[in-house]
Amino acid sequence: MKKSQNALEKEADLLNNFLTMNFKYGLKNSLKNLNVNRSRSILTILGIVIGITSIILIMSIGQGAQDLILNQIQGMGSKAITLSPGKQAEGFSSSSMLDSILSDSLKEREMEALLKKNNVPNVAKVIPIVFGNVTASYQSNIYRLMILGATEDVLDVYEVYPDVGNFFTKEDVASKANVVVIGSKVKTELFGESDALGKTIKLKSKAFRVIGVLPSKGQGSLVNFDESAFAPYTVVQESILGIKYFQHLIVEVDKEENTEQVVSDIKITLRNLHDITDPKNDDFSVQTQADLVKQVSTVTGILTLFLASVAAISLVVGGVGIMNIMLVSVTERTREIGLRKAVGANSKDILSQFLLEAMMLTSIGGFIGVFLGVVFGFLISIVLTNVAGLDWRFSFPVGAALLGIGVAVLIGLVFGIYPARQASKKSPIEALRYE
Amino acid sequence: MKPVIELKNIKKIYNAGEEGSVTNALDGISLEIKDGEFVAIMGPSGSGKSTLLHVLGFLDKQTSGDYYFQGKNNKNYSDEELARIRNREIGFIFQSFNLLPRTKVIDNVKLPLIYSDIKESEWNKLAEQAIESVGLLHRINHEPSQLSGGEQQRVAIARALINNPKVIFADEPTGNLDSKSGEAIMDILQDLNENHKHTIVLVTHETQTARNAERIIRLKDGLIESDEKVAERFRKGSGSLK
Repeated sequence: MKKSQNALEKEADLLNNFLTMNFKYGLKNSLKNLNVNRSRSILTILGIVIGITSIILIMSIGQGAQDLILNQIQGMGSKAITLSPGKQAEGFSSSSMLDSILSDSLKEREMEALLKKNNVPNVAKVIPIVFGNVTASYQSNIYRLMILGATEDVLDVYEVYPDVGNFFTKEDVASKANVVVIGSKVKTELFGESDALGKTIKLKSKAFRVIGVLPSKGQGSLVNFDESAFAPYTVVQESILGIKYFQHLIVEVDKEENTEQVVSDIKITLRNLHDITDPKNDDFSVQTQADLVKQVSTVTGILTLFLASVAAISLVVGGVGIMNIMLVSVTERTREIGLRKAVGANSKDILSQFLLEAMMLTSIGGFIGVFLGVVFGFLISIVLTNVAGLDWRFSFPVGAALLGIGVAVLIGLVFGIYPARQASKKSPIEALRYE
Repeated sequence: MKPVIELKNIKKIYNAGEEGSVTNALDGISLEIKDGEFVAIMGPSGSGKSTLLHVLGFLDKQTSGDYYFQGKNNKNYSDEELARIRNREIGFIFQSFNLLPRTKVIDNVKLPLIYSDIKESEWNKLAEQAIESVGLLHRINHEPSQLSGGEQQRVAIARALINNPKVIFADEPTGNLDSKSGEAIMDILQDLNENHKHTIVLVTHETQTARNAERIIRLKDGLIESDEKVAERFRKGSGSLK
């Protein structure tokens, strides 16, 4: 005889009862009751379906977008380290970003220092990058493009291999040759269908000879190469941008495992060169691919989470709908509750019955939601691949699917417990008398 | 013989309204019902006969007094223990049948088994036996809405029988039936009492129906007005009165 039970024992009892109750009968009975009011049940779970569908869809798209971006970053090769002028950006504060734009701490002198074997022994290549927007013209056609100045080694870093003509050479860089390799969009805007190779275009009123055309890479790159043009950095610095510094230095490590060593060597070299004793005063920042991957993952992760939580609000609304309909159901079935109690059901049996029914309702909604979310996610991946030309890979979001079903069951539990308690508290005799 | 039911000064008081208007539905009832008896409880409406049946059937608790069921006082029983007794020891038959709608006869009859310890593999066999004993095997897969009132009440009897209860409580079982169906129901109850040794407690306001019992307790204003054996020559089914 248990006369006084504390709350914990009661919880354990409830769970125990839930498990020992004839589960098969409970499931069958719940399904039957939901089926009796089929259209009502369907309308009730619609809220849950919509909520779970949007969460799955958002998480699936978020994952796809993240994979896409990370693939591109990793496409640059994990051996690349990016140096930027200005302080290491902490978050997205405008002052540090402005600092990075205005700073001119990376110049020829720094590049030469990094190339010295006794400073940074494990460096394979150092590639300077300068860029800016400039107006290009050919005859009467005008197009505003992004000019990227670099050495010939940038070819392998960005994987920009011309399908017509050639990329510029080491000699072109050294001789400050006025040559340019243009992206596919630039080509069509300036030349239309006619041949571009060997023609002369004007960039900031200086004549450049087109020596190569890049194949279309499509949207979704970090830099849209279709709307860009490549030229030797020497000539871009001098003739177009009128600057002496670099916006980036890409340092390529000889072997991937030396990355950390190279990062610290670079820091020491540049600090010595700039007489910096306190790392807080660094006038440059170093970013490895791993850093970038981490940053991007964090940003896309936060964005996905934010969108998913907006979608989760609809789940709360759906849950209130479930609670409402369960309360109606409890009132409608008062006599049934009375009868069940009269033939031997105790309060826990009744509680389990209605709780199971609510959870059944929401988990059906959850399954449908997961299914629809995955289907829509797959359709969107097809559209993005075929229409937008992205290298979008659809992956079945297993985690999100499990989460979606779990959340659905939980909502049934949370919003079903109150109606179920109301049902279980009814006294058998009053319930039987209910008209 | 030991009484299966023993009441000592049972009172049931309802506090209705804010001014505290008090209704004494049962005002001190003491009685004994022996194992195997067939008792009818009669009385005008408001006399407390239904309240008494509900207390006897563990659907309601008395306000004061002691109720011994099979020798045990039920005073300190928890909700679970009361549910257990309702499930194992007693069966209920209601005026309005109280069958689950849109549920097959066999599933209605099985209902008490769900809350019992009996293994699921035996449910069908037990349910079929109970349905056979009320002569409805041919209706086993029908739903209540496809049955006549008399048939529905027979399903309810089968449901009350399935756990082989000690006592069957019947609350105006013929109240919603025409006289012919009602008589058939009473014949079944009498058979259960005489040939299967179930104790039966029947609430009715019809003298004709009450005459199926061997003892009639009359209530008035929450008190026992009379408690007497039905003379054998008046009993229905014995053939002397008709």
